[in-house]
Amino acid sequence: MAAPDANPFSQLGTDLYKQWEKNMTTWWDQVLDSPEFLEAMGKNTAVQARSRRKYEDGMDEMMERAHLPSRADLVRIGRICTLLEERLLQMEDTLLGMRDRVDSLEKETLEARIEAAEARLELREHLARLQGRLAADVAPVSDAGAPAAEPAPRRAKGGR
Amino acid sequence: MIDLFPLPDPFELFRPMLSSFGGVDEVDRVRRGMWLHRTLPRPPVGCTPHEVAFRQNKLVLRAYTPSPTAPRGRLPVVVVPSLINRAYICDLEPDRSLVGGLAALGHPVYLVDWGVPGPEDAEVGVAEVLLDLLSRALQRVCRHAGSPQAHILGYCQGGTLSAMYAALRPARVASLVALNAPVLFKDGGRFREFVSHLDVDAAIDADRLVSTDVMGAAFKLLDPMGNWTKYLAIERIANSPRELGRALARERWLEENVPMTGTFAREFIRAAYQEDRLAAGTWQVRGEPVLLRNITCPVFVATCAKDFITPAAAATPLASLVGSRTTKIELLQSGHIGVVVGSFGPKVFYPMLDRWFREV
Repeated sequence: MAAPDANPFSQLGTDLYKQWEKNMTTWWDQVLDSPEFLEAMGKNTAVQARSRRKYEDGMDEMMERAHLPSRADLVRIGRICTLLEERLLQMEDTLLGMRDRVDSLEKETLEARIEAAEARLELREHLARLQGRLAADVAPVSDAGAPAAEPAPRRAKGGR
Repeated sequence: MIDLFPLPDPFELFRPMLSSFGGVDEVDRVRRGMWLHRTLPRPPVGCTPHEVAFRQNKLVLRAYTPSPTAPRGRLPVVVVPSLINRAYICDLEPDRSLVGGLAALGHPVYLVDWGVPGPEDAEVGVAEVLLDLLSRALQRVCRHAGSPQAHILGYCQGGTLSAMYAALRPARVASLVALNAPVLFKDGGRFREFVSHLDVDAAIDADRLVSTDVMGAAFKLLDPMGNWTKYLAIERIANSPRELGRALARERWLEENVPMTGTFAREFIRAAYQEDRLAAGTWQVRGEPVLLRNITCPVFVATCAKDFITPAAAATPLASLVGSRTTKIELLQSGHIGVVVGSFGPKVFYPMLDRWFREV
């Protein structure tokens, strides 16, 4: 903590300053809360806006007389640029949306193709299994029914 | 620059007599603070490395890569700041950056930088901001991150707009964090008092921009004495380059105001601040009613105890107006800007957000 000021005159000055600051704050609060002041401020803003408009209109007229592009002309060109940008962005939005749809369709198609390929593979495996089983079932039957060896040609009777 | 007309010293004649008078010393310090404020260069801002994911008109979508050392967040986080301030408030300094802090915690972060509107954008209204700009930005975030949804973190007016967007197009919103975002504008504090007396049609032209001079003056009036005491604060930290750099980065942000488009300003001031249509559910955007009860995703309402721009009373009702089952309200011991750029952010707020994004 700071040591108390030895000079009472200086302390008095500091106290006076603090009191002034406090009084000023209170005064400003009163001013800013008074409806009269706020109303006057509102009117002043309106007058400022009117003067600015008149000044800008006057400048526009002067520029027009000098055959130079006025503020209004530049604003119009700026607005056209903004509108064109908006149109381009809308087109970009549409394109991005279409790309999203194409992407999702591609994904769906790819998924469907993968599923189909998997189904075919499964079917092929199933078929191979069936063929294996068939071969296994058919083999013993063939073995039993088929002649063991080629029969020898019979001798002709009386053929000594 | 050579200062041809230095500020006059009203105490020059009396200085020898008043040299020991403490109050004069304070005034002298304010003058020194003013001189420092006027002469010192402003530090660079928005330095966290990022890539630009998308651009539309003045809007730039900045993407921040999550740290590979931290566990990766599941969904991207979209930070939506206010339209009337520079977006670099969310990336003011390398060690006090909301976007940098969340990326360091492992979240893929996207910052919606609204940019500075030109006169050609004066007719951009609330509908264009929500249904054209923010909607497309969120769509591009989801595409860039390869995710069907994203968390939205809206700050100040950006929080109000995020809540409106979530009510209109809830499909892409995984969760909503509304930081210092007013929804009940009758409790909107001094700023509401300012605009409640404004004849919107007379004061704001729909086909022009609202001048930064007008907006700057209104913001300065929110805390008139703050404009005086800040010089004292700058003078106090004059010998600490680090602290001075921090203060000047904030000053840069406060100085670089962004004009509001006339159409947006008219609609927002009338519908929100003067008629309080958002809470009443009578605000319509392109014929669609903005019904906060349509928000069914988890909602986190964060407000600050020392916030005089968005008082807690204007922000907390969001939790009761939405149709979500999971809602959370947190009253943070910080200020409107301090919560993002002060030491409170990296110490308390960023980890709090990290937990929220991982839990919901």
